[in-house]
Amino acid sequence: MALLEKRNLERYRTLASVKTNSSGFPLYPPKASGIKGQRRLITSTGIFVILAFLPWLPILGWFTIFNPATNYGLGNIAYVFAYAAAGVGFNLLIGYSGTLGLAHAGIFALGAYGTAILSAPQECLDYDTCETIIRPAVAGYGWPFLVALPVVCIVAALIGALVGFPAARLKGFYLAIATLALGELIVKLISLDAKLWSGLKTNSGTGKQVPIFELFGSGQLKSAYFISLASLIITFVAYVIYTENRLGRTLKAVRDIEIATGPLGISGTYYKLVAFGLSSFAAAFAGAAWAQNSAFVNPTSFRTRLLVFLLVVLILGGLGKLWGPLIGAFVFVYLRQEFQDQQKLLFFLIGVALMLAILLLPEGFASLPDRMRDSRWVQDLRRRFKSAKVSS
Amino acid sequence: MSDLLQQIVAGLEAGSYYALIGLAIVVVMKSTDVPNFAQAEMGLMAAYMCWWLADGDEIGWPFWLAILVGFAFAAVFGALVQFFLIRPLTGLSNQPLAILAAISLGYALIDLFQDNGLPFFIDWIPGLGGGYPLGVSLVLAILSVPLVYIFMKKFVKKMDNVDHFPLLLLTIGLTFALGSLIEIFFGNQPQKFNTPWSGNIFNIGDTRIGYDQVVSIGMGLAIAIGLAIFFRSKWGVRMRAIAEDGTTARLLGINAGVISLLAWAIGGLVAGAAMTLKGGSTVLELGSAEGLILKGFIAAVLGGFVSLPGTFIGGMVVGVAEAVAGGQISTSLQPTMALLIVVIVLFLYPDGLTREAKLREV
Repeated sequence: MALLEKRNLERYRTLASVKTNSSGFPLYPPKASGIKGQRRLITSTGIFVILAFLPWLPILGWFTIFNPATNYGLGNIAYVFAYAAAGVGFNLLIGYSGTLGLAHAGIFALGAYGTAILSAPQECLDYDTCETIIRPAVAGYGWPFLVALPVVCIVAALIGALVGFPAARLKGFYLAIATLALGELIVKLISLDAKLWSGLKTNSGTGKQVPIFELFGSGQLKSAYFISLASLIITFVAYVIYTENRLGRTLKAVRDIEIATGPLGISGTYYKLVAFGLSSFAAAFAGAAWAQNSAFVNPTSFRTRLLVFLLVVLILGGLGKLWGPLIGAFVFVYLRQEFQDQQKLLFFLIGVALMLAILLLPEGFASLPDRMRDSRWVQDLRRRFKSAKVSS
Repeated sequence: MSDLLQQIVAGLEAGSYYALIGLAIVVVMKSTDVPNFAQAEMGLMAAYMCWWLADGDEIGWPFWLAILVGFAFAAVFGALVQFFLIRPLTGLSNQPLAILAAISLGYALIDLFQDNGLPFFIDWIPGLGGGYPLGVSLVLAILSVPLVYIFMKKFVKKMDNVDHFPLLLLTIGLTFALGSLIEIFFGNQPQKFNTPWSGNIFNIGDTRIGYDQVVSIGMGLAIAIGLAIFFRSKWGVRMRAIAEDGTTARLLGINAGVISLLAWAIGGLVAGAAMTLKGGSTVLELGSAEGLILKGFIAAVLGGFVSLPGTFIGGMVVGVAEAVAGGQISTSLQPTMALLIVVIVLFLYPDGLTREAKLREV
């Protein structure tokens, strides 16, 4: 036994990349080298390259709802990306760190409103010289969109970390209620009177036109599409990098055995706050992309209902799964567009889908391949196949 | 001064609705450990039922008969939700759910087979195209019923010790489904539910107080006291035993299924009473459940999810604080008051306000 350990130790030491602690023991087992270790990153990149060229590819044409050749379909795909990006951030928080932070609707609203207000042209009193036809009530600060976006996202991440502070003291259900209240509070603050927030000029909660940012003059929908795609790619890459490295493992450890990680010197609070911050960054980015796509924001669209939509996206897709939010967002946007004219039926179906997902597929659509592979029937088939091969 | 008194009375009235919803949540939470997000929506369903039975344009029964039947419906509906949906997630049988799913899907399939209502991605499958005569589609639907039953029976796992999150999500799904069911059955127009005492007002000094408000506050208090007495009775003690330690209680011969059925019936009844009172005092509308459920949860949090008096007082405090802050300081503060209270309280007392709550955490 001791010999084996020693040999393993030697092997670990020869791998330069493995971090060891002061007594020479590896902190975590080495990653598989070469392409094998990077497989997740490579598949993701490949799929994103395809997604980036989607508007010019003839596939998906038989989906009316997702037909990228039409403005309607392109907008829907952009919604899918935005919801999926918010879902990936949510996944990091709920699925990976196991923290029930439900303030995401508020952070999403913060991203949408923040970018809209910062990038709106400054109030101009002389209407003849104004190029845009935006009403004075929605005038903002006139920042370029590409400056406003990162600023808003970083501020949202800080606010998200602040919202996460109850996580240090509260557990489970209490935390869910506290963060739900804080998220609602953010939406309420956004929709407060213009008197109180004269600088923000949110038009006292009646909704607000979003100044459109056009990427290289490619039109509103195409640029909204690319901003949404960018938000998805960035959150995806961040998710893959963080969950495959130290942070992801620590978050998992804090989630599963917080009693043990404390005495080891790992601050559970710190890691939870990092998770809150990262997921808020993703939510704000997604909110900004969503606002660019819908071109109009209204505080009522960020109420608890949006939170439920995000939960549906996450749960249908699969909690803690990389591709879960994207699958869930596709299903959700499909349902929403298919039953657009029958709102009653839509909410009924969303409710039933959520219930069935909890009862039948608690790990979501993304877990279906795994479940199929592990099912008795498939394993039996595989065994038979193997034995047939051996005997021949 | 009279303004303040008026606001306090209005606050007590609103607070009694919050407190009742909170009490319903606590009763369900105490006995089955399910955070029921759909409680207000279930109550709203019963309130609409009462209105539908009593309203002259619809059925036109006498008021008290309609109330009696509506409240019975509330209790039965609560029990049905537990029987069909919550059972498999609390380690009991999944058979009722499978039967319900099979029958309702079979019923929906008759429609789908008859007219081409299938979405595009399955209508190319031979036999699923639609447009069959009634007989054929009936046979096809009946044939599919056992398949659905077997599927549900096999794949809905009986789960024990499910944590709160999936249960919360399940009830959120139920909220959505119920909301649209109410809209389908009763329409989406706000309805005035007339009670014998509605519209009558008396004065104390300069303060005008409606009989609605007195009835709401009184009923809230009466139900809270009734629940407190119930939890000291034989069945109440059994309920507490199941909540405290389910396995031991079941080993001692307490029927967990019946107890949790009873708890859900009581929860449904209390929530139904709350929503009916609110409907009688203001109007019945679809959006009213969404606002109430959050306040109900806040009241339940203030009571630590176990304490009945704590929940009742919490709900009242939230209601009064909202009304007074809205009237005396700024109207824009009113909707944020409850949220501020819960955030501050949870920061200061993360273990809950009462001694009982602390015991539970240990």
